[in-house]
Amino acid sequence: MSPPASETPPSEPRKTQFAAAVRVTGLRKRFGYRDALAGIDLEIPARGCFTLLGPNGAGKSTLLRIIGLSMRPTAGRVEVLGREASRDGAVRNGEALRSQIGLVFHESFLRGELTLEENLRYYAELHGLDRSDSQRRAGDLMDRLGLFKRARDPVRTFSTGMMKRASIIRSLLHRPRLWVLDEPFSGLDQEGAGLLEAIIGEEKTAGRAVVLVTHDAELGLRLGDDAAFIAAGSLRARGKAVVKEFMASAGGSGAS
Amino acid sequence: MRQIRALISLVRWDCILELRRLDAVLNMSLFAVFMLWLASFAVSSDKEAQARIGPLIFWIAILFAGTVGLSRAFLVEQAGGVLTGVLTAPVDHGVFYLAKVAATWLYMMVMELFLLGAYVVLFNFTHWERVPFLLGTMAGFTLGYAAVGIVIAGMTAVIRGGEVVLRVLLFPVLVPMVIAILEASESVFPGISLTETQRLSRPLVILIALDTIYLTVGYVLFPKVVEE
Repeated sequence: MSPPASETPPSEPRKTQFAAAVRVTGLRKRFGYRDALAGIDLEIPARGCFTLLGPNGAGKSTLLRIIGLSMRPTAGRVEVLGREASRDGAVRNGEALRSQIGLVFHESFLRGELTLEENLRYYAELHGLDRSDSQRRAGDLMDRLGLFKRARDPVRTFSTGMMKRASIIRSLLHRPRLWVLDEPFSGLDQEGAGLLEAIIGEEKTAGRAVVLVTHDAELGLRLGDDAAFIAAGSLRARGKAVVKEFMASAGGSGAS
Repeated sequence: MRQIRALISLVRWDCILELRRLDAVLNMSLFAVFMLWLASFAVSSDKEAQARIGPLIFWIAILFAGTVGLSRAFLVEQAGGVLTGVLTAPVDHGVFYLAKVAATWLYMMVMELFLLGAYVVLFNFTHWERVPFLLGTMAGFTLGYAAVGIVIAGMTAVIRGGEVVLRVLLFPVLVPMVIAILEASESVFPGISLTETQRLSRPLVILIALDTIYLTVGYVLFPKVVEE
């Protein structure tokens, strides 16, 4: 069995063949008569943490779902890890691309009836990971995130915070090149949030790309090497300093 | 090769979950056997009516019980966003479709074996030499049924009243298969000599052709259905 494309050890920075992890041009997403994204142009660097801020309903999660290849745009061009993903069929046939993306969304993607260990084995098999390597990796991650003792419990018995931790483990199992996080801190206790911050830091050091959506602007700007602010489906500010300035002038939320 | 491993893995985990919950198999089997049992009262005293109506009730029980299983086909994937998890994994969405068809076929075949057992008891079925032909017809019909059913179940899984819409859309598409199995039933169930192989094989050939068409169309359509 050939090793998956994302098998480089975490400590070893990967050489990047592309300048941007994500590049979107004229991106639109329409739900019925409402534009969730109204023509966004954005480039997310190939390394480091990129924070996406904005009020509720700004279109952050929609943008993340398109970047994470779980949703098709209505119009516009999307390039993820150097591959165009917006053309019809590219998402469907983009198995190689999907193997390099890790997703933490509001849903855990975990099967409630299965234990955490079984869920991780299930996703490891879908990613075509080597069995012993993925078991070791899963064990390390469960240990790190404090779920090792609950490995054999069905995940339906987990609390919200534990489910979030489990979801983080699942998303990192295949060592993704691009890690997409939608409100990953929600539901986590202080210890869990600290662990997640540390892991984000390690991913940055390893030369991977992290895209983070959070409502906590202070935390987001602290963790992010770069940032953008979107509201009503449009890009309002780009760059950490500009975002800070924009939010200060708009009274914090920048919803207007 | 990797996609074949993913296919096997998807079917295996589906079966593991089904073995733990016995959701689809148990619900379908109970539905089908009770339907057959209730219908058997209507013809219990009339041997001729049993032979004439029995096969029809047998297939109708499969048709309706199958929808009970199909409406549950994506229940597990809907909870916790598992469907998104599978669709964003590096697995071809057509392979996911084939895995769902294979799992549904397996569950329905188990249900049909229970139903056949009940049929033998309730309708005094004694043509044992015809059982292999009957099993072949059941397997062929069930494959086409699952191939169409999984596409429609994928479409209706997220809409309100999906179970009703499932039946409304499913049954018209299955009409050619129903005609084929009824033709096969004429040969398998009542007193027609097995030497008339032409009569027996024709419906089976039609079923295989329909299975191929339904599977091909499903493989192409299913990814488009579940991607949005």
